[in-house]
Amino acid sequence: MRKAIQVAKWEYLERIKNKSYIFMTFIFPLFIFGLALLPALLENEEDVSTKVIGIFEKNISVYTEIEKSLLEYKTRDGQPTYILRKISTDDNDINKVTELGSKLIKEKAIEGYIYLEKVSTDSFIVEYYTEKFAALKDIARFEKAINHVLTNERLKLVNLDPEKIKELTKSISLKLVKLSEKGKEKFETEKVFLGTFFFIMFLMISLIMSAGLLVRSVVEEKSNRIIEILLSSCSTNELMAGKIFGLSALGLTQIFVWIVIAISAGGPVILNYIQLQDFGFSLIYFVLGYIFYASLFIGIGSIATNEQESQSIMSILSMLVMLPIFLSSIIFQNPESKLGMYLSYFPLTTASMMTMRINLIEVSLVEKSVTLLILILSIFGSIWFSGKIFRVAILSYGKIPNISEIINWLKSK
Amino acid sequence: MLKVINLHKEFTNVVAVDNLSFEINEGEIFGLLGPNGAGKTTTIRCLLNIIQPDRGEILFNGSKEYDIKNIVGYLPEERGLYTKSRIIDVLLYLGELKGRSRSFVKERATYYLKKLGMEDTGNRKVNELSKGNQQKIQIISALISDPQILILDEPFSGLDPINQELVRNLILEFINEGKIIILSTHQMELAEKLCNKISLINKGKQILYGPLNEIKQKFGRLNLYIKGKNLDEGLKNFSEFETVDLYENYAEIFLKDHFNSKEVLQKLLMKYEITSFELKEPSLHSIFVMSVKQSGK
Repeated sequence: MRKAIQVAKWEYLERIKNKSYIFMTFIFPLFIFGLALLPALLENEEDVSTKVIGIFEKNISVYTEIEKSLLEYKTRDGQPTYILRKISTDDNDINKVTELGSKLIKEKAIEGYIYLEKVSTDSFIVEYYTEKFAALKDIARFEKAINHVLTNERLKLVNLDPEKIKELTKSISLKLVKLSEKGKEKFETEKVFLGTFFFIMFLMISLIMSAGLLVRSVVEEKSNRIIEILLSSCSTNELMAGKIFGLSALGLTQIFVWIVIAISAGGPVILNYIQLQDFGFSLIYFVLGYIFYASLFIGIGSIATNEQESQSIMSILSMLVMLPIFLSSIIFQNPESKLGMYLSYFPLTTASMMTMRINLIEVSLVEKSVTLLILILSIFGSIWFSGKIFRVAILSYGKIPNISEIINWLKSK
Repeated sequence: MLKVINLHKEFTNVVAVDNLSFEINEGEIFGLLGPNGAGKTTTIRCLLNIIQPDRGEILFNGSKEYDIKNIVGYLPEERGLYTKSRIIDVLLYLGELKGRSRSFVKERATYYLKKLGMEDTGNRKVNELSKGNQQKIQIISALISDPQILILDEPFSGLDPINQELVRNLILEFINEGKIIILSTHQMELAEKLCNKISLINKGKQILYGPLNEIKQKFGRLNLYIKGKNLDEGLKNFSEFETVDLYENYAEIFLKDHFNSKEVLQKLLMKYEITSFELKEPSLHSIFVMSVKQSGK
């Protein structure tokens, strides 16, 4: 045990200095959170200056209504973001309008102009002319305002009061209340989905990352033969256990750092988006799942004899790890599905399926205990399996073994 | 004393080690010799308890109750270290993994680094060192835990003469402390100079075993060493010669049982300009070659 801890300590302290580990641990989450928060930040970005937008109308006159509707957007100092300026020519000839419009744009008198023509009672031509690529935000706002005004126009035509219509067609949102042993609980579906999903993503990304480091380290030790020195100092089991401990500690450190970064960067905002119903059990499944995968990976990873082989093995392992993520949509669609239940008893997917299910539906204590037992037994199984392979693989160089050779290794006493 | 009794290990369809027995006393350098694939590495791995023998016992000081991993230092034939790690960290790790305390290992590391003229390199990374210096670090790593038994696989390969001398001195210093060294090598000259006792194995079987001088005596005959100018393959046609090892300007000849040295010399003089003609005990090299050949028959 003492030697296993020595190995774990070495693995941990050496790998934690690895550049790609540092990158993944510190830069990657900032990148992900950046990506996730960027649209929200852009959305909330305040408008800086007032824009003058031209508007040309043919067979219709609604520009005051449109301007009024656009008044909801204000600049930072409280001025309206958009001011409409009516464009007209003597004969309203389309060519002349275009000419005038582009002249005004060139003179920077207007940002661009809206062309609005009523063709018949329920048909309009609406176009926005601009020289540069218009901000999507502006377009969306114009669209909303014009739609709003034109809809009201149509309603008035059939003698309906737009205010009344709005009031009568107000939509409701369905609130979910989860009934559990604890009584009624507020349940915000998206948050729980998101929370669960993040939880599984964390597990998978961190696993792929650490497993990559681990496989590379075993290949390095094999190719420089240091493995023989290590085995002259400790048993294969101690070496393997040390590596599993070290790897798990690395992965859990990484996740801890991510959580700290998430909370310090987003603070309560993050917690608002993420919610787990059953944090305690989720954590247990997470840690056990991690150890299970780590112990499995160490056996499979040890058969690689060079860098290329380790990469192809890693891509297979990554697919194995991604499996639960692909399957997660099935559970999100229907947490009660039979498939989800079956997959909970399949060791490779137990941790992720159960994390999803315990957070989304009520899972009986019996089922929790059985799946936990399966997971624990699987850990022992995969340690046995990996131990058999590891013992022979770390001393075989030159070529990657085929399946029948591996089966022979498993049979050997 | 390390005692190996009837060590036997088979892999699928191959007998790697076939009932091997030997014993090594404190203060002895034991040569484990044999051609490639003879079973040397398997024997070493069994000794190190990296693989389990099918049969046989390995006793240290008469007992099976010892943890070989804590009392052995090992230098594998193919060298390598954690290239991106600091030298001192690597030495500390390998020493502590042998169950030694950090302070003990640190002290030994400082001692050996100084002894090999590398006291300033502890904080450098392994890959910043020259090949020769990396080899020295590797040898230090085998000695770092102050082992009772040292197993060296081709310790001199890749070393220049100066470093060979350094390593030779380390080996002698170690053996003078009354410990055990197992030296696995192909270099017979080296084994001849260093070893007190040898075991020659071929295809897993031990074909020669014992103290070096006894083996030479037991071989019971003398070899012919001749020096001369135009020595050539023609020597092999002499009916009195069993085998001929031909070198640039000398030859070591393994003679057949019945021969007349006078006649041989006369025959040689008729064909070659002989400058030296000497009968002396065979070199380990020729014993090795002969024994391997005979065992193959």
